[in-house]
Amino acid sequence: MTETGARAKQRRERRCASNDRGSALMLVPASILVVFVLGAIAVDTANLRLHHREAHHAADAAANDAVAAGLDLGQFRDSGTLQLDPTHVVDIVGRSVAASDVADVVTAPPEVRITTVDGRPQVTVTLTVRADYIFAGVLPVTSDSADIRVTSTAELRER
Amino acid sequence: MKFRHRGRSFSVHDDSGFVAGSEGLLFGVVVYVVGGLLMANVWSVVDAKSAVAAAAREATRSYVESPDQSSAEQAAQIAARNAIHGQGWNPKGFSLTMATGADHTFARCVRVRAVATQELHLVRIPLVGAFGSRVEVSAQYSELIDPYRAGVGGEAVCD
Repeated sequence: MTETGARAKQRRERRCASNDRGSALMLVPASILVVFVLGAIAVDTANLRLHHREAHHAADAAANDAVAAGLDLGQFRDSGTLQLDPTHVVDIVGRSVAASDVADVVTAPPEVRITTVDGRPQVTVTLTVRADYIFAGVLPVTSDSADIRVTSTAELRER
Repeated sequence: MKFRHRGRSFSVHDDSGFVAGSEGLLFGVVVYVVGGLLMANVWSVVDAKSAVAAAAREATRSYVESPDQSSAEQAAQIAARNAIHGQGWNPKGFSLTMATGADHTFARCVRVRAVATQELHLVRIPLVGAFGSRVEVSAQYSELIDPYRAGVGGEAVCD
């Protein structure tokens, strides 16, 4: 190769090294992938939030039913005091959760706590439900589902 | 091959090998369109689920607070449709089923269950419209009619 030919080749190589033509071929698929990943995160987060809300509504309904229907009538008739029947309350909570939308995804039996605050009985229901991810479950590095724990309290009051 | 036009030099390359690369562009577009539609469809299912869950809850609340069965049915339908409309969905594809146990009575301690269903198209493109097969998204919610409320029959004992 002559000296002129070698210089021309060096010039061509320098020109090619500084040229960014064709970079869009790499940038566009990468940006599309980023858009899809962000969309998947948005959908999974919304789905998780939806499960959380459903579980909360189920716990609300169970606590509300239990506090309304779990009154110990014998005790009320005898002494006039408001007191809940624990066995009945647990039974009502179980039936309410079984009739709810989250019955299939409840991972543990509902936790029921009966307390009395200022002479008024309260029922606190805690539910643990499993929420399956839609997109994140596909990735090998993430788990397929998340556990959601919600608590709801209802109070029995005389009107 | 080079040619000159109005003093400027142009280089014309032949298009041999174009077929071995152009399908990459086509696949890219297909992946982008299909991925975008998939994301939109999953989002619409999550959104519909949220809407029907709210509708079922509102319907049940309206039902158990109503004075009698006929007005309860009506109040539940109105509340559910208002909830669906409020969430931005068309009540045309919406249906609500209320169930009140085996004897279908409106009495104390009866468990009221609402099943709300929204029909939606798998493909919905803005400004073009909805087409493709339909899917149904449903949610349910249940509650007891208050055992100590006035104006309804039945015993205040929830077994």
